[in-house]
Amino acid sequence: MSNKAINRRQKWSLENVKTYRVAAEALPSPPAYSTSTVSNATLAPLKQVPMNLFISYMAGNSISIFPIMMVGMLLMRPIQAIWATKSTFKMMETSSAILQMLVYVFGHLVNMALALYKCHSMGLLPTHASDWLAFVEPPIRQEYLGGGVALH
Amino acid sequence: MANFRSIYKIQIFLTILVHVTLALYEDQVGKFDWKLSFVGKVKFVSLEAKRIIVATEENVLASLNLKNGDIHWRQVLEDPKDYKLELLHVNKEIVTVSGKENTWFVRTWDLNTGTILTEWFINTERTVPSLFTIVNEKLLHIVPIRGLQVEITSYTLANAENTNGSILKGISRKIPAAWLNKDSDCVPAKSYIVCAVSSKLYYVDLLKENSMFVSQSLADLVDNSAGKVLLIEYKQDVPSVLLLKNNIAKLGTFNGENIQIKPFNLMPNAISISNNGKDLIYQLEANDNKNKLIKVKAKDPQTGLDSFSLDLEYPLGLGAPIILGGQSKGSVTDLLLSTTDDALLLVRLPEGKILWTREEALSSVVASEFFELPISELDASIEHEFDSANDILEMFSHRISTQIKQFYNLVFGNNLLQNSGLVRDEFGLHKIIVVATRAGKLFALDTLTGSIVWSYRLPNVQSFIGIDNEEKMLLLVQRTAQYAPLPAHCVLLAQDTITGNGILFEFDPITGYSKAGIQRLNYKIVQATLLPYQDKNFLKPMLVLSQDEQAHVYPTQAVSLIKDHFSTMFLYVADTENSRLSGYTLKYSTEDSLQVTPSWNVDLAPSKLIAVSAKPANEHVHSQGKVLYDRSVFYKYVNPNLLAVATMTSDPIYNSVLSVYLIDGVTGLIIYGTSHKKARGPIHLVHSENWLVYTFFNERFRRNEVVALELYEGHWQNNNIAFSSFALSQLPQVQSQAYILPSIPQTMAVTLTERGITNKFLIIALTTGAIIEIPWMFLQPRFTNMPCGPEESCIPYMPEIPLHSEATINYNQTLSGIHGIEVAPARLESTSHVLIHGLDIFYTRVAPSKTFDVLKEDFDHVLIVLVLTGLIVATLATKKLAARKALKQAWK
Amino acid sequence: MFKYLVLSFVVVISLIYEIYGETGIVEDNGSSKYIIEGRIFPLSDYQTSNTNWQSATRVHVNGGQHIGFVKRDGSFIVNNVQSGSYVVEVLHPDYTFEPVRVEINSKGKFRARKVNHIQTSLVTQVPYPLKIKALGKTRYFQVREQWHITDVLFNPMIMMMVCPLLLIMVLPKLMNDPETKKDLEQIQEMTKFEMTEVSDMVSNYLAGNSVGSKEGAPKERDSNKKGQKFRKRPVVKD
Repeated sequence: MSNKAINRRQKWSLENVKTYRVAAEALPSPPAYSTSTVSNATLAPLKQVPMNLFISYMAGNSISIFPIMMVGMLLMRPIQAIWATKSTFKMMETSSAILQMLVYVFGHLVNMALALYKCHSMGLLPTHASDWLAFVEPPIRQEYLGGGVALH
Repeated sequence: MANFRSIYKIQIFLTILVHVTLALYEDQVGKFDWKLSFVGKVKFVSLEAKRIIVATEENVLASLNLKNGDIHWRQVLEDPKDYKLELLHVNKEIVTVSGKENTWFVRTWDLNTGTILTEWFINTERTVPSLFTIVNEKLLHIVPIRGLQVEITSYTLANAENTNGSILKGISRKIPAAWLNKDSDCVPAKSYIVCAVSSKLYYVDLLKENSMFVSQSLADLVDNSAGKVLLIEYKQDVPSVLLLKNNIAKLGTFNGENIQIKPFNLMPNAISISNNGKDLIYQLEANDNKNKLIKVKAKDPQTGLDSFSLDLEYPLGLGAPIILGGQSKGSVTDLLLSTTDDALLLVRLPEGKILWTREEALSSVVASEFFELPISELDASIEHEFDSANDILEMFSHRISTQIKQFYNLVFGNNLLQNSGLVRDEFGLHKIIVVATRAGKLFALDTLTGSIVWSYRLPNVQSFIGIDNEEKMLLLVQRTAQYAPLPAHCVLLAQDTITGNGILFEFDPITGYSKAGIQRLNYKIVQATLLPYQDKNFLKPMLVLSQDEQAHVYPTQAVSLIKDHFSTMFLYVADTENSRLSGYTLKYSTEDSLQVTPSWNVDLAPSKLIAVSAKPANEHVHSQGKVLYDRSVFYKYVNPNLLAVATMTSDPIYNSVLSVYLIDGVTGLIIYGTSHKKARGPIHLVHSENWLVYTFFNERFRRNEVVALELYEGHWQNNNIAFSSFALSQLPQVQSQAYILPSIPQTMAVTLTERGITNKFLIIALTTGAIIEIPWMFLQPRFTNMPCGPEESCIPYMPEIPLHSEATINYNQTLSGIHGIEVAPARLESTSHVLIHGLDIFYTRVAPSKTFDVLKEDFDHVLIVLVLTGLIVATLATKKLAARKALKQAWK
Repeated sequence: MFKYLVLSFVVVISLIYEIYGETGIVEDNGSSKYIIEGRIFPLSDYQTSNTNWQSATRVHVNGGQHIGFVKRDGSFIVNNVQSGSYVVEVLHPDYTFEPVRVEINSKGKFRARKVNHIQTSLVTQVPYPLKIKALGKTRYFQVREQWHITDVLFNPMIMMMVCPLLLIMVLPKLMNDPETKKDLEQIQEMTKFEMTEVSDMVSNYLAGNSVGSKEGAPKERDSNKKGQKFRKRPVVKD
């Protein structure tokens, strides 16, 4: 529309909202709030934990294709991400990079711990004696016995 | 009532659910099992044109084909231990008399089909040995009573068909014969009865009314030389008898009240065969000719002159023959011979050809052992590479040459290195079974076909008598065939017929060759065992315990090998006469003197010891515990030295009480004992791993019951490194459960596998002739406070064990007279070999967990390869097409 | 008088013989021997009428303690049986027969009942002399699982995948055909009908109560529609 139309609009319209344009730099950011991509990347794994918790809960404790796929995914993703830590942080600034990398890895480890807990509740972890039963060697015989019914 | 009904319903429902899917498929029949049928040692024979009717010592009546000796039909009568066949008479139909002391069954059979026509029963009060004979369609029962008389009862068989009931009524007659004593020997001679007592011969003609015995002095008839005169029945149209003295027989014919002795001499095995009315006497004589050991002679009965003589090519491995019967038709005469080692042969004259031989010794197998075959020579030749261990070039060339030979074998088939065919196959399923028979003959059977590979006759050898009058010999394997080029070595222990001393026979089970031959020992053997140590030639020494509690080691040099192990060797002997178990130790022996010291005694008198069972020596237990539903382990108590002992006590209140004990064989400690009131035998014990299964007859409910006992240590293992019988910290927990077996078991065994991973099956032979396999899971005692369902791989408790007809491993080949079951592990973990012997021999392979380690036979290799190649081709083609299409699209 | 005595004596003797004959007792040292008899009825199939099944059939009493054989007419007897309880089973390699429990009491009375190992005192009587019928041919083998094409085709997963696939591939081809297009359009027209919008109906009801509302209604409706549409767009005209 033309300028005229806009002006007319402005004449009749009631403006309720006044936008106050406040300078973004003036207010300090709340603690642990950061808009920089680095901190986003560092804390991303920790943010995933609640969602993973919910997915694990939904997947169920039975041994069938869906839960196993979920567990597999939960395990493999952190491992792959940890492997690619260096490349993820290569592009970021180097200030306190070590600490951020550690936090990042820690986040992924938490995810992996969650996956292991899921394994445990599904009964897949060999924590009981019965899981190692197949490797138990039979005890060595100390005495040998022979004989039978008296033959006559 | 409602309880039982619901149990019924649940049981039927579960039986359908837990369907035993372990049966054979119809196309597997005959692929890995075979059956050999036997009749037993032939006692009476009658040749009829194309058929031979035989009656044997095993109480079997059979009809054999004249041309090839195959069984046409066979009727197995009662248990031969009690009832024996006394008479066989063939005319238009077969008449048999079988029985014991005072009860006799008289049966008539149809000649062609073996169907019974009539059956009668004779019951007498006398329990002395009697004779039967048939004269003029009348059955005569002759009972000689010492010091008194001879009672003759005659039964008319033709009339008896109309009698009411099945008791034959006969007309009795008594002939006084006060001269009868225990040395008198009576035989029938057509219508005469002839007895020889001290120096007189008595005979009487029964057809004559009121006839009395006529006596004649033997000195007049036969020469005056010293020696006892024996009478032998001689079947001829004219009543005759053979008088045997000092191995020379003379023929005597009766005429009225006179006896006429023919002047010529005969062999004791002479028989008379009539050819178109003309009689000839046939007999066998020993020959000096090494190749033709037997001479057949035909003599004229009037003059005694030889009308026919032939040297027979008699096979070396057979025992001495006697003529059982024969027939002549035109110019051809057939003679049926039976040998001392129970074989049956048919000789056709005048060619002197042996038409067929039946090895009836195999109908009474007393010991058996499975042997692995050696690997083929070609495979073994690779080992020879290291013969010349110093010359590298020679080793290299040897290896290359053997590999080239192997390549040729693969491509062109194995004609290069000929073998006797006795070569181990891929899965070790081709084995040799060595069986020792009661007649003292050793046979080797091939597991693939059941044919006899070799046989070895051991003269004057008899079996030991074990528990419950069971006959057995000991076969011990000192070295298997896997240590090529050393041959396999096996030892047979038996008893000498004459002296009762022990016999040691060492041989190579694959070829039957024995270097040392039969070694007759100078002591009586009580027990023997193999020692678990090998010498540098991989030979396991054998320890033999003699009756005077002396121990002997074979080979004798092996004492130096075992001298360090004296304190770990123990022996036990179960004395059935005194119901006592004794344990012995070798602790106090030295290299120079082997000393067996008694270490413990368990006296179970006045109960009678009826069964003793130890665990199989070559058994491996794979899993050390049972996994419970809460994932904890309940450890098993596996004591390899445990003995299971069953005794029977007679009790005034409860008829008989069965007691079962578990005794440690090294220390003599009774680990567990239980008793069943009002229980009767026969008892069968099966002892394996950590459990024991036994069957008995419950007299209160009149049914056969099976009890399973399982021993556990608990949730913690006492010592998981070594097991010692002396280190028993607490008694094991015993779980027991009882079941009902709807059929009567004859014998039981359990499957054995190489590593013990597969499930165990109990192989039970029933009296019906079927062999049933029952999974151990059915019998395993259930834990009371634990759930039992498919998740815990537990079948809920069923009081009656279902016996499906699909679980019979011998499908419709019912076996008669089953005596024992032998089980051996195969090289495949999933399979075991099973051999059932008795009157028939049956072999099959059992796979308790189905053959999980082999591809199934009808695995479609071709289809899979085709499908795979098809899919690969399709993938590549589609890829190309897709790429082309994308390219086209890009250019649009 | 004398005749009377003789007659009674003869009667008594004959009675004694009759009784003995019926039950077949042989008094011997106090233990009586009885006879178990019966008849076997085989399956009337092709095989039994051809072969001589009688010679292959055996009757086992108490697992072989006493044996009986089958005559040509199917009857059998077992001799020498003392008083007691026995399980009589008929054995044939190819056919199954049901076992029977025969009880002979000390007086010689026979009772035959069905074998029941669990409820041993339950008496389901069966006629004596025994009449044993074949239950059927014994099944020894398992049938091999055959692979049929129906296993694959009628598998729900396969059907779920294959049918939509077919539909996707087949339908577009169908649609591209001009004749079918025309047919489809005709069908669509026939089944098409005016769906009144709820808002139209409500406004009609509220506004259009006047006469000729019926004729005017469509017109009204149209104009209303137009107007409404017009009104929807917030075009502000100055």
